Amino acid sequence: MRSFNGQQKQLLVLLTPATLFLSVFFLGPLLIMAVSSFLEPGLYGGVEWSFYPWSYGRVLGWADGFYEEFDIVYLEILLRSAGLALATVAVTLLLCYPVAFWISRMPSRWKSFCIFMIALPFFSSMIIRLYAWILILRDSGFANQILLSLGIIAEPLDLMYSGTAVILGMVYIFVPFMFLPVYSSVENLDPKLIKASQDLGATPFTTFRRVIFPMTLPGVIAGSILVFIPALGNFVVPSMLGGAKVVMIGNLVEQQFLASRNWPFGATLSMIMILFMLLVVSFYLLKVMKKQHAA
Amino acid sequence: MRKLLNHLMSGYGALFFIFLYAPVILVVAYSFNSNPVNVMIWKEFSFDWYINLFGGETNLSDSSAYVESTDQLFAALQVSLTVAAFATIVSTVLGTSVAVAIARYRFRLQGFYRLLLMVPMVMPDIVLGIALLIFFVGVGMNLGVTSIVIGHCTFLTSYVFIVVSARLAGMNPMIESASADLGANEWQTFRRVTLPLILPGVIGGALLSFIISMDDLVITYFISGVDSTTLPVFIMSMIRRGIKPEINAIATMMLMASVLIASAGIYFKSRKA
Amino acid sequence: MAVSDPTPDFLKIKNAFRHFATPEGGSVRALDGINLNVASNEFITLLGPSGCGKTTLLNIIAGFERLDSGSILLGGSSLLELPAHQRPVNTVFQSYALFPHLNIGDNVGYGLDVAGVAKKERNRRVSEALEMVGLSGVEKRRPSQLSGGQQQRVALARAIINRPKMLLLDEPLSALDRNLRSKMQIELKNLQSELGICFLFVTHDQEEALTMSDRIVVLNGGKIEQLGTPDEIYHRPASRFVTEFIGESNIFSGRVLESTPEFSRVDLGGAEVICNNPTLSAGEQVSLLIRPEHFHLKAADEPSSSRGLTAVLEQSVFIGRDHQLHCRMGNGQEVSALIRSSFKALQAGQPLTLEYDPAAWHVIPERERVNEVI
Repeated sequence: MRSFNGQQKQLLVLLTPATLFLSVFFLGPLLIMAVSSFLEPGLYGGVEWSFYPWSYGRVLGWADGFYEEFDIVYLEILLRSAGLALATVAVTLLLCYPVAFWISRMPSRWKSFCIFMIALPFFSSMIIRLYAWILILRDSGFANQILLSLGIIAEPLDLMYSGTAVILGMVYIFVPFMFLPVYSSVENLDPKLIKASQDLGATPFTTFRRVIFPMTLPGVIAGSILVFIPALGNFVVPSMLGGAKVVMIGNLVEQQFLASRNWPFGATLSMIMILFMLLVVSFYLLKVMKKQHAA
Repeated sequence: MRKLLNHLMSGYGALFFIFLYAPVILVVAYSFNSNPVNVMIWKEFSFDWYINLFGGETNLSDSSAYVESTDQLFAALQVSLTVAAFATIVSTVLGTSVAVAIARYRFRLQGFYRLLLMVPMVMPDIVLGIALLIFFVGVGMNLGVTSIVIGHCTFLTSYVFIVVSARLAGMNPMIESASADLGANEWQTFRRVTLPLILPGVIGGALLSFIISMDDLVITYFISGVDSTTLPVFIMSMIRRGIKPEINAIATMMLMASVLIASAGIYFKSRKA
Repeated sequence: MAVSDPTPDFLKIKNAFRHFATPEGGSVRALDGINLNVASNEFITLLGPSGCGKTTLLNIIAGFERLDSGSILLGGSSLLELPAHQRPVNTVFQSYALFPHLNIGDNVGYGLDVAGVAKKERNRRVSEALEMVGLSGVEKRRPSQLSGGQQQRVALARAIINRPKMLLLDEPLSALDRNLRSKMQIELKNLQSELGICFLFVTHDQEEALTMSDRIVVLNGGKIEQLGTPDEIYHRPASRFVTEFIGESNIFSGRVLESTPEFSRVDLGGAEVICNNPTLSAGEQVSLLIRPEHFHLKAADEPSSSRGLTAVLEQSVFIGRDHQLHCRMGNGQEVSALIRSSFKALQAGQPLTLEYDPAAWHVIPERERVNEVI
């Protein structure tokens, strides 16, 4: 505790710049986006200032049949994006969970080295990490070269431009997001509890189900959310590895801004995406918490 | 049984690291491949692509020389560095001051500020990107270095806040009382005690901001103007135009740079006070 | 550092009130009308359980917390208007709060550095202060390289270098192990008389308080339960709280049967005791205290006297030099006694006569608080 004299003044000095900055350049834009999702699209991008609920109608079903038509494809794309994002979460979790245990049992020198090595990709350019996968997956890429030279295939395989390629790319990018929280909860696990469970006669499987998993659950939840949100809204990975075949909601939003020039519709799609994320995340949290209570 | 499990885990872990590193190592390795026709068919070792990038004469045939983009590449690098430098300075000041305020004072809106600084980190990039685009166009601001700096600061502030807060949380608040007790006024206390103690966190947060700013693609993609393409945006458009061997060389250099910066960051973060 | 003549009312605390809001919406009185005068050369201890307000009072004197109402004068001038860094008092913090980024010399010299004292003078005073706490030649080391006891000494040196008019010590010995703690207790006491300044010492450890203090302030619930010398606090506790908080005690309630100028007879419900307390009157209900160490066992060949309590031994615990006896009297009340260990083993279930000196009994005053005394 500092001296109470002049506390208010110091607090004001510390908080005012950030408050102003974030209000104007963060909360402000989000609010404007929310508002503009209800406005009429301008002819060449931008917005017209009149109330226009049809952008939402296009996605959710109340078309006026004149300006805008309802098309189920938007919801399909949203659900497909969610599916791809969930698959990404599942694969990253499957990858990271055992590795977290493996690393947590290492001597501490090795431990910090391994964690550094896993966190390192986070510090290196995302676009370059994706580029590496293009080199591997494309028709004349590394994977096909190897398979061809080994005589396993006669013709190059179509590895790019598929849902699998997109999931692979997202997993590759988001692995550190899952690993770090999962690892920290595994690291905080008291080995005595596992011993106690074994001592009380639990089989390894029961110990895992009743002790280890519930205690690492907070890390799993945090990691899942940290992977799910950017995966769902991603447009870089599908546009690099998915091409025209795998369109995610992010690509759709991008198109509205840079190709179709329908900004309000892009804003609408973003709003729906955020709401959908909130829905999925809170549903997930609720379900997981219930399970934790039951356990 | 137990031994088998351990072996399985080690094998799995090894595969995990191969999965993480094989692709990037591949990029690095093939950046030294002189084959101008197919990037992935190994011909012979050469530095040609690097020399080519820096405008040097190589024995590559004219058809495979892509020097035309070199100027653009360096222009993009310059924009990226400028943006990262300014964004780092601004976000470090903003993030640090909020972290100090929350850690050292008790006030009613603490929960609000914590939330305010959490949200930009979980907000999908694309949403922030288009929100900023609508905003900048709406207020009639030209898209360029300034708009990118502002855009980056909105989420970089959060990263600095998290890193500095962690540092402050590990600090005994009594230490500042001790300083006041010994006769130091508020400014002396901040300069002689608080700042030196949180400095590793501040530097770590600044480095993290710098790296993230350099690497940001999505937000920059929406709010960069015609003349203000950053390195990641430039590389993405380059990749979209077609795979060229010089991308390998650029990629390799960028990877090296990030390894260096990340190592420096880890060094500062783990440095004991 | 010359020792000047002591001023009797150097620190004057008058009607100090401070309350805190609790998270549940209530409020806790941390200081509930404290009045206290301390002499300029006194070693005074604030003693009480956690939450009694002792640390709050220290923080208020140091300037880390404010007072709701009341006044605090130091040497005749008010402290409350001054911010912490301008107050002529210094603090030794509970966990030392040494600056981890500064070496020992810079830690100790910190107060002089912020005051802008010249380098030569500063270095001289740093080594002088370190010498005073018996820790010369460690200037270049880091706090983390020192042991807990050494860090403690550094914290002391750092706090006395500014030549404060008063030193505040916030449970400074609580992190030390037992042996080191008793050693530091003596050193602290010596340092205090050497410096000739007032030490305000906060602790929850009654042994520590009894060992070092000139006077002890027993605090409970933000009020002063008793203010007195260690001897008074231990032998003549002013309230039931003080009795129970300080040392081991046997407390009986009883009715005065007979009171003469020389002695009183008190009925403890089936057992009768004689005590030397002339102030009692017959028929009065009283609470009586006797410390376990004031009992002794009658040898078998001694003639029995009426000055003894008969009780059955339930358990005897060997604690080194002494045996702690847990006994039960005929009326069911428990009584504990501390008896010098001997070769003769005592058996559980054995009847005993616990003899006492009538002067050992103390009547605990019934009034609840003694705030107004001073």
